[in-house]
Amino acid sequence: MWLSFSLFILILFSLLGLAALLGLSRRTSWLPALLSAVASLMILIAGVEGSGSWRAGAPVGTSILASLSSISLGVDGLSAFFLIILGLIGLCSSIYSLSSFKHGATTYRAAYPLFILSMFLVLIVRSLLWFVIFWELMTLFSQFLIANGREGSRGAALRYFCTTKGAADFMLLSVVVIIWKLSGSPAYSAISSVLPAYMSSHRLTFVLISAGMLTGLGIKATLVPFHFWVPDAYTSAPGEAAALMSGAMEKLPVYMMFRYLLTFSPLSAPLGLAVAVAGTLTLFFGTMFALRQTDSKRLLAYHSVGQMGYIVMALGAGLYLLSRGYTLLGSLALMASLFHSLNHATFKSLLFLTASSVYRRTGLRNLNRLGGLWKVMPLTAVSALIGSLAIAGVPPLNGFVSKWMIYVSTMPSSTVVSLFGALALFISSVTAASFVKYFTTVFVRPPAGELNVSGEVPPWMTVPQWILAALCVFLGVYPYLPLRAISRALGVVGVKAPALSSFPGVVVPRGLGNVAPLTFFVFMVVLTSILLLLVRPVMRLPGWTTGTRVLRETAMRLPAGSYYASFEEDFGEVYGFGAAIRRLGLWIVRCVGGVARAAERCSADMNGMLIGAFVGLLIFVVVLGRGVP
Amino acid sequence: MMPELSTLVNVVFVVLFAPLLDGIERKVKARLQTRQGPPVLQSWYDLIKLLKRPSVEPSGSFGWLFRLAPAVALSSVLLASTFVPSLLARSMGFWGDLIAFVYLLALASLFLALGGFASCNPYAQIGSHREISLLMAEEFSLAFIVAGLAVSAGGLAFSAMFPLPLKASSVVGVLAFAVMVYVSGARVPFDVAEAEPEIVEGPLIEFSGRSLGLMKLTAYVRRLLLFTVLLNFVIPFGGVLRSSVYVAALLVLSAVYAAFEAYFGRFRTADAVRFLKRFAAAGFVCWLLAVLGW
Amino acid sequence: MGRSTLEGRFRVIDVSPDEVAEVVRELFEDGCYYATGMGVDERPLNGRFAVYHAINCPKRGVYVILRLTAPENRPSVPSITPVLRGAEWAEREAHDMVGVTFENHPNLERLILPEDWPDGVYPLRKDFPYNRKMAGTEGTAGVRGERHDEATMSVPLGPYHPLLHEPEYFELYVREDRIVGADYRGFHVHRGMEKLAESRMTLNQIPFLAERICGICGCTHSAAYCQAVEEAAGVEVPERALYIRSLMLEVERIHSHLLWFGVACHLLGFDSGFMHFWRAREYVMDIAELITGNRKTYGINLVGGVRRDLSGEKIQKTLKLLELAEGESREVIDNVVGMKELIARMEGVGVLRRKDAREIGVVGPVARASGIDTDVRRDHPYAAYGDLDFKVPVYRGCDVLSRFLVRVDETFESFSLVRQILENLPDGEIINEEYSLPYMEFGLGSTEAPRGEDVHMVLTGGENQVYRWHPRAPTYNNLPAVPLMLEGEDVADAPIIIASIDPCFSCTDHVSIVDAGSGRVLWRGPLLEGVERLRR
Repeated sequence: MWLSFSLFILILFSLLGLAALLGLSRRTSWLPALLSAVASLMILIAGVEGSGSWRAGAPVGTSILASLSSISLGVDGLSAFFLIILGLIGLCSSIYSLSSFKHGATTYRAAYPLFILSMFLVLIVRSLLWFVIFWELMTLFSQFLIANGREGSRGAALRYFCTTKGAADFMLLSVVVIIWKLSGSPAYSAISSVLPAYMSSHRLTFVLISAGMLTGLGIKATLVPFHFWVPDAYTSAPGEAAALMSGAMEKLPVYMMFRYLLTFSPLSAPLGLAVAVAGTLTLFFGTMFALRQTDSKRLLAYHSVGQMGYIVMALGAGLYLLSRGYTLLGSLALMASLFHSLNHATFKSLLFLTASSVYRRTGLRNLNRLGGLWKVMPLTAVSALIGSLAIAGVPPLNGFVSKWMIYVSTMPSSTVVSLFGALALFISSVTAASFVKYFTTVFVRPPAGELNVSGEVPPWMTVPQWILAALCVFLGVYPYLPLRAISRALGVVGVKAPALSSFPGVVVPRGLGNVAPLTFFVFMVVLTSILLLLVRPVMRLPGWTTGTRVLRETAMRLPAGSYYASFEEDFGEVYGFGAAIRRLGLWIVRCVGGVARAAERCSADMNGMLIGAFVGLLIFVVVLGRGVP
Repeated sequence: MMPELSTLVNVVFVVLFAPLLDGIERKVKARLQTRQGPPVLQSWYDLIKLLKRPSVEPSGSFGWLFRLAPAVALSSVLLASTFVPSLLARSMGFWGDLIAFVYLLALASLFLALGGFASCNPYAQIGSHREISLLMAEEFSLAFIVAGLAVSAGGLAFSAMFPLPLKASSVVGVLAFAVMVYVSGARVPFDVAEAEPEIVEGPLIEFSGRSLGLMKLTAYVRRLLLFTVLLNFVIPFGGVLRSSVYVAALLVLSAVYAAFEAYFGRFRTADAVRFLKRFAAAGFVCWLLAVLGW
Repeated sequence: MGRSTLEGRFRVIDVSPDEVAEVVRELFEDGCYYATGMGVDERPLNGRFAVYHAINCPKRGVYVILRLTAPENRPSVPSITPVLRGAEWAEREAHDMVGVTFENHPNLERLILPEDWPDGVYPLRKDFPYNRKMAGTEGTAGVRGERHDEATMSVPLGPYHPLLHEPEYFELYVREDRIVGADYRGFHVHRGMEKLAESRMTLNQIPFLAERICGICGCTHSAAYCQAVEEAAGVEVPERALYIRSLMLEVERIHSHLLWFGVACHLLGFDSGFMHFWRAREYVMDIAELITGNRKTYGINLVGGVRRDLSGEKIQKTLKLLELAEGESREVIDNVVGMKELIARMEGVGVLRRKDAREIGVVGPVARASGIDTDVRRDHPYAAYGDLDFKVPVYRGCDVLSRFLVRVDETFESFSLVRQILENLPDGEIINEEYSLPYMEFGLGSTEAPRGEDVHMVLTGGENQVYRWHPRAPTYNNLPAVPLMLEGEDVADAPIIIASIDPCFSCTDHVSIVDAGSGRVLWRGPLLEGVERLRR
């Protein structure tokens, strides 16, 4: 490793801490962003490098509180993979922040680096208890990013905080039970050596602990029916924060799910199936609801939900298939899940950044009113096109390759999982439709009225968009590098990844499937260029509107609300059912959420929320810290 | 024969034969309407004429995307034709599988719609959004069929699927797929995106000359490829016999499909979507049979 | 020997401006509807402008003509549109063309004259020479009303839209694939036929001009004109001539309906139906050619009778062709009616409620499909219809399907009528040319065209001329109902809804088709040249 791990962490801490401090002053608004960018770059490098560990303090006694007296940090293949995601997204959104930070509030600039830091810590701690603590901190800092003073943002932040905080309490409960009753130590290694055997013999404990863990993680992973906080939160958060949350933060529950489901708990078909069903519901309803949105960021937020569904569905399907003996398919599905995590991070952050660029230039998120921005913001437009095509799963971009892996791993198995694959295939076309809408309403067809746009956003905003766009192409066309990192990550959780790389194609053995993205890319680029030369138009004439003199060009445009109206009407049951599920989710939260409600009450303002969070955590630690009997 | 050479033969065959197939369909439809009909080569004549003419761009359009659309659409269907065995059984099979095929056809539709939007014509916008609505509904039915066939064949690669094993699920799946071939070919009553009397060819309205020619060729190749995959599912043998049976079956299929087309009126978009939504039941039956091992 | 079938067809009543609204309201409540109205420049006579409102009272078998006059220096009369909205267009037209102002008219905007026409110039006034050239700038074709917000799309339909086949302009306001509103602007190509007839033509030239008002139902226009003059001059028409007129009117109806079925199929995407209907229609065209020498634009009517007689051999041939045409039409219609998805495209679509239909005064199949039992042939018998036996189909669905079914029933009624006429054709002369033309006598002729009631009003001018001629085609009354039918419907249904009133489509390739009343050119039809050529 290029730096000793402890030194590396120290530097990161000081960088991000300094950034947070600088964020509190108004003068040099770009400095915290720059420091965050440097830190993110280091995280990325650490992720690529792969391994290392660091330990401070020593456990005194056996109480839970005592286990907090020491902290053990380290990187293994799995966390390294997620560090890559965090580093990439952190880097791009921090570069983006260089010119956007000056608009943000002080708390926002201070919380931003701390948010990155807490995510980093979540990934590198090797102790479940510290994991939960950093997790809570991450939630805390992220809600400052949401509550940025815009109209309605405080409510959105509150809902986000209460929901995820309440859910995290469930997780904390599970964790405490694990440590207190079962493993006796919060260290990952200790838990994974004890827990699987214990839980396979105690089904009830297994079910309860899994329920607690997965609720905590699932709400953060925006699983339906607990996704309702997402649209408001991402709409309120500024673009780069939304990119960071959607791209990186949402992947952290996936990280812990991998760890929990594959190393802490025994392989179990019902559990895998439950996760897969949750994922399928999420991808289905999340995306179907995204189709109806007419607000750029809400649309992206709902797609965030939908794409998380793909990731979780593949994870659940992998578990299920592994436990049913489909080793090849199961491990492939897990690979697909990880690969899609990476891909989703790239294209969704990219799309959030483009939506944010548009918002900064026009002050609009309303897709009904936007339009025609390609002419003014060509750089943003092209990167948005690439992002849209990538998330739509257009071959050979990255979204296609990971979705293809999901289909190939699920569809041919003669289990119920193949039905999930079919639904995912359908939803992929809905995603494509939705992004045709996003792209064309913002950048192509005419706006509803004159938009007062001064031009392209500054280079510091276009550069990260283009980095991510390039990644969308590269990860798809040349998937061998990410697949290697994924194999390494799966190795950590004890799954042997199948060898797929058969240059220039990706071939799944036994006739399951094969695709050659690199060849696709070369073929398409060459042929398209030839054809483009062929069709060079000779003149431009006014368009034909059946002889009408177009007096109000801006009126003859398809409003975003009208896109696919017939389709949505015919699939009306889905929307009715989806709304019912959402109500169910809210109802559950309201019923179970004594904790959440208490938090809500005491956190009527930001300070109260802050204090409440810390007090809650403190009480938990003190009360439970009495020691194991 | 080397796979590269055989692939080249296939691609050339597809490009040459697809407009001819359309000419045959036009003739069949004309005879059913008691018309003389144009000569069988008419689609080729039209295409040659279009390809000779320069393209005109609408002045309000987004030239870059507008020009890109036909090029990408044609490239994607031609790319699909490299790995789907058509005239000759050997092709670049390892380049793609059924999923790649489905996605490449969807890509062509996607860029047709994007091209329509890029022209900024109101009819093109309506047609494009209809095109995508229909695409979603198609995929809804197709997804279950693909899953059923995948389970039945035990994989999605063409090596596993061509031909399908003789099972009840394969039979149902192939029949359902045949219907989807009809739907995906944008035939009446599913041609809502290009309805001439209401939205004047929809997304194609502003395309002219070469770019229109490329769009038309894309549509022809797309239909031919759909037929080809359908036939590949069932033709059990190789060699010269396969090629001749394949060509003969293509002609028969296209005549039958054209005959069906002559006896339908156009759907509304909502009707088409509703039909496809219900038709997903057939795909589901196919999948159920396959999972049960039948 | 001869007789006038037109006796008692109308009653002209001079009303005072104060009572006109009340009279109109009473008439409407009695079951009458607004047929048409014209403004007349009567200054050479009495120094006043006059407005004639023709109100059709089908129950009583009479047209009530309300005549209002206004002095030259203040050409203004009260509007009756607030009482009966069917009068809106006629009043706007009179305002455009003659310069009469209507007090309290809700929307006295230009209807016919282009936007760049100078104010205060009224082409149908007698002091406006027919050959005056007007300097004009490029007009703005479009709808003035702006009715859209950011979530609504304006979809232009026309003036050159493949659906319309004629220059008129609909602007549809579409939201989520549904039409939430529609505006209409027409009369793009006004030919000034009335001016032409009044200034340059003789009495018996006008039937040929009238025939060219429409390329599909021209015969009905020349018949209506001849009836108007015959009524004004008290001409006795030989019975054989009346039968031949009826014969051609029914042949025209069959061809027109078959043509419409074909077009409807085409608009619904069912091109095979289009082709087969038009194949069946060819026999009807052959009948027309056999009897008149022309496939279309028969040129058979003159004031006082008809121009061509029928031999026994022709009758036999016609009957044979008729059988073929009826058989094939029956077959194709049965097939179409059996196509469930096609019927579903028409059912419940384009609804025009009976109340709206009555107020607007829609006519013909559109009215009969909305449950209004009206047919000029029965209510105001003309030509030979008093002697003939036929049913008037009425449907209450108020939708496109009802309009379709009304036309289906009518087609077969017409086949039966043609047969009745041929079997009962009386002997005798075919024309009476012994008549003298009075000066300033009012006459009204009306026929049931395939599209509905066709009304021509004439003021004779003496010296073998007419002083004022006002033709009103059925489409004129039906078009204002279209925006109502469109509201709330799927965009995909707009073509069939607009077509369901059967606006003038035509099959002739030399003649400009002009919607009467306004005299606007509807369509120059090169499209079907190919069809004609194919047949030879």
